[in-house]
Amino acid sequence: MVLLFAGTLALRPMEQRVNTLRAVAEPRGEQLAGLAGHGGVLAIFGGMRAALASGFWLRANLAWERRDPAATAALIELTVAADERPLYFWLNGARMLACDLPAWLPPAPEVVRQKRSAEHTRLALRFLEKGARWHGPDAALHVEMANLCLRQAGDVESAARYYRQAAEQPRAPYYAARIHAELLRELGRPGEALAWLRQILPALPADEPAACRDVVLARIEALEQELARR
Amino acid sequence: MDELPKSGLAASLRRTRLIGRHTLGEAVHLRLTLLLGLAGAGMLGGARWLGEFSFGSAELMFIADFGLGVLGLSGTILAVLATTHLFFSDIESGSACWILTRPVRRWEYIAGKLVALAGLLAVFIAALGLLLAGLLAWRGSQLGAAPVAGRLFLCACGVQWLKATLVAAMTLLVCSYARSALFASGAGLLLAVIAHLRPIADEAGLAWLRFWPNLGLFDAEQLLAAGQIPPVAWLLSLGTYWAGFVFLFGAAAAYVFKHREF
Repeated sequence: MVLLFAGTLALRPMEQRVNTLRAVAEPRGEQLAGLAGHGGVLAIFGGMRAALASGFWLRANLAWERRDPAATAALIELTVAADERPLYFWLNGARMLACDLPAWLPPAPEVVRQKRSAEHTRLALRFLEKGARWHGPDAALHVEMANLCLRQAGDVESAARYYRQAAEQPRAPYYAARIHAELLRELGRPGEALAWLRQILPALPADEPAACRDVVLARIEALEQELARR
Repeated sequence: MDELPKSGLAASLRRTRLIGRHTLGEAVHLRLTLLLGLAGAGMLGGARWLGEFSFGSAELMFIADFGLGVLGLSGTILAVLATTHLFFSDIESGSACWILTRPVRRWEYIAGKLVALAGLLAVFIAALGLLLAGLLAWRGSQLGAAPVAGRLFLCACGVQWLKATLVAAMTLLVCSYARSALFASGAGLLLAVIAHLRPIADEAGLAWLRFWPNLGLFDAEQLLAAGQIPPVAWLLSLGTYWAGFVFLFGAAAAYVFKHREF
């Protein structure tokens, strides 16, 4: 037994090397622990997590139809714990948490409603940040975080930061970089906006309509004129 | 059996091969193998129907994911139950005693069993893998979707085979000292579950589990989801990790079996 233990401990460095070299992350402890007690752990061991996640998602939508905020939130969490790979669950789950759940709460004065909306937006942002950890960073997740900050919380500073993070991801949509510059302008930082646009311009293809290279050139010109007038 | 040369590595390998071939022939004809194969095939067929309830991912990826899960689950169950059955049936029928009265070393007997189990699991996973590949090709042609890359799919099936053979080696260690097939089956399944719990060992305060192999490394679904052939360095590391544990469990089983009395 001693030799068996010694042998298994000797193989620990090899396990760490495999973990370091793998292209995708190991299933996270907190992710699997979140499934404990909900019948999900055995399904994970059986490798059927896509089916399990779809089942949880169906139940989350049934809870959504009943307007049950606690059940909806819990089932959304179980869905992503079962299968963190599809962005669909992260994006739509965050939208449900930020936009739908506060609307189901009993009527209240404006101040209270705003506070509830801010709390649910923070909940959705924490959910998406967990998505960036479990799924891996993705432009779509950062764009969603930016949209929530801008539309739900009115937090332009955070939205600008998230749009920049989105623009820096591989295969990011071109608009993320442009919107980051526009938000910097709104925040009264035209110098930073100009520097950013000049930085992204060389990488924009001229033959790609979505890149809107002409639009970026026009905005650079406008910013240069604005700064010259100051 | 033929008259065997008595000494030397070549002779040992020949004896191991003979035991392995005999065991494999017995294993392939087991009703258990057929039953699990049919159950696996049925579940693969069910994947087509379940694909309509896939919300998060493309249908083909869902079917591939589910199918690999069926391969893994049925392969693990077969690894435990077939190992237990083949080992204890030899003991109960007296074949083990008869073989060991010949100039066959106990480690050669264990090695032969292990080689046969690896062969059985390879045939089993290859058969279900072919069925899954056919299902994916057929459904892909109906949907007009890009097929799952062949080499990547082969890698994923290979990883499932590695996992199943490691479970078989664990179960063989249990069989080498267990007195009943029921205990060995239960212990084998429990050890497989423990090995799957390794990823959450630290979070759940089970740090002592670190000495046990981590079956979470053999995640074929994640491999397929990555969409690209994993780096050779990773494959070699995983293979070395697998070989290390299989050798360790095999050597431990041979040592325990050497001191076993019938």
